[in-house]
Amino acid sequence: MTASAEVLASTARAPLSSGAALAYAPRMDHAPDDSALMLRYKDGDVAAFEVLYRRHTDPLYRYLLRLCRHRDTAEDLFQEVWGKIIKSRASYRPTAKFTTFLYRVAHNCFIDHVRRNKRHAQNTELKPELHSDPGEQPETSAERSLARERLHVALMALPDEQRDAFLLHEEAGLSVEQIAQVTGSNRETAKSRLRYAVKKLRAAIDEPTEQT
Amino acid sequence: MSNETDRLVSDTYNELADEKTPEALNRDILRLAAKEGRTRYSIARGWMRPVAWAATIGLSLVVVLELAILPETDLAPSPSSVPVDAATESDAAERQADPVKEEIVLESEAAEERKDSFAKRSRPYSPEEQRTEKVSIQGELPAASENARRRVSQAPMLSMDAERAPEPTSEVSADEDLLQDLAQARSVAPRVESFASGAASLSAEPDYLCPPEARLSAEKWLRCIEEIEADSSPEFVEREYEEFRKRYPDFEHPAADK
Repeated sequence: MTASAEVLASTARAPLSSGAALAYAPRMDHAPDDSALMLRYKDGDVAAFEVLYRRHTDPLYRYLLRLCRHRDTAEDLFQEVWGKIIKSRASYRPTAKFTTFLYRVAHNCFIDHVRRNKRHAQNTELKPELHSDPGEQPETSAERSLARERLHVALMALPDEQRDAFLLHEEAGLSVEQIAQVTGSNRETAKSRLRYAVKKLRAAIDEPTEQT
Repeated sequence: MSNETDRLVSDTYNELADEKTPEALNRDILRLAAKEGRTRYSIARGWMRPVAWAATIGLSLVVVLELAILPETDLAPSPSSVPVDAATESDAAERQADPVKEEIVLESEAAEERKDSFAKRSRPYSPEEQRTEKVSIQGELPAASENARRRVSQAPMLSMDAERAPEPTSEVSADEDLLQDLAQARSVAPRVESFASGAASLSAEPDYLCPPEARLSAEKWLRCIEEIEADSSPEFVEREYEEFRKRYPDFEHPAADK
C-alpha cells in the first residue's frame, strides 16, 4: 500500500472526534483538500470524488445511523445525501468548509425525513455493537462495556437537537460555530445544545461508578 | 475541560461508534458518482491525449521530411555559384583563352536560364502567353532535349576536365590562376551534373513524342502519331492528337477523328 493510500485509509477509519480531528489535520497537509477534490469532480474527475467519499463515508454513516436510530432509514438517507452532493457538484462553490456543506445537506435530509415520518421517534431499532479489547482485564473490559452501553442508551434518549449537536461535534469534528451553521441556529443555541448533551452523557457514564 | 467537550464521553463514544458503511452502499454511490460525473470533457479526455500525441508526432515528421526534401528540390542559387555569377567582364577574355573555364561558365549560365524558365512555367499562363508558347515550343523543345542530352554526355567529362585542369605550366602565376580555376570548377561541376540529371529526367518524359520535323506537315505528323500509337501510352497519343487538331483544325483525314 502506498503512503497516500495509507493516509486515506487511516483517515477513512478514524472517527472525527476532537482528539482524532487533531490527528487528522496534519495528514491533510499531504492529501488534497476536500474542496479541491470536489472541484476536480466537478470537472469530471471521478477518482477525486472517490477519495472524497472514502474520507467522509464512515463518519457520515455513523452520524445518520445515530440520528435516525434505524439502520435502513440511515442507509436511505445516506444515499440521498450523497446523491444530492453528486447532483450539486455543478453549482458547488468552495465558500465554506466541505464538511460543513456535507453535514448541512445530511441534517436537512434528516429534517425532511422527520417531517415526512412523524413517528420516527418510536422507531428505535439500533442496538449497540459492544466489543471488548482482547488485551484488557476482564473487570475493566466489563466496566468499559457497561459504560458504552449506558452511553448508547443515553444518546438514543437525547432530544434530536442535542443528539444532532453532539454527533456533529464527535463525528464531523465541527466547532460550535459550524454546528450552528449546519443546524441553522445561532451560536449560543448550538453551544447550549452541545453542553446539555455532553452533560447528560457524562452523567450516564458516571452513574454506575457513583453507585458503587 | 469545557462543558462542550468531555474526554471520557468522547473516548467512550469512539469505542462505541465503530460502524462502517456497508460495501454495497459504497459501490452504489460510487457507481452513481461515476455515472453522473462523466462530463463531455472527461469522456473526451480518454481519446484526446492519444490523438494529440499522434497529431504532434505526425506534424513533426512532416516538418522533418519537408526540411530533408526541400534542399534537393530547391532551385535557389547555392552559395557555391556566387563566384561564377559574380564573374566580371574582365574575365571574359581570360575565359575565352581557357576552354575548360569557358565551358563551365557557359554551363552555369545555361543552368540559370533553365531556372528562369522553370520559374516562368510554375506561374499560370495568360491566354497570349499560351498562344506564344504553342508556337515557340515547336522550335524550342528539340533544342532543349538536345541540350539536355549533350549535357548528360558532357557532365562526366566536365568533372573529369575539372580534375585535369591544374596541369603544370611553365609560369608560376599561371599555376595560381589554374588553382583558382580548379576550385571554381570543382564547385560548379556537381551542380552541372545535378542539372544534367534533372534535364535528363525531364527529357525522359517529353510533352510530345513526335519530332518537330514531323510536325511541319499535317500528313507527316499524322503518320508519326500512327507510328507511336502502337507502342506508346494512350495519354501521349491523345495529347499528340489534341495538339494536331489545334494546329490543323481544318485538316480532313480519317485518322484525325479518333
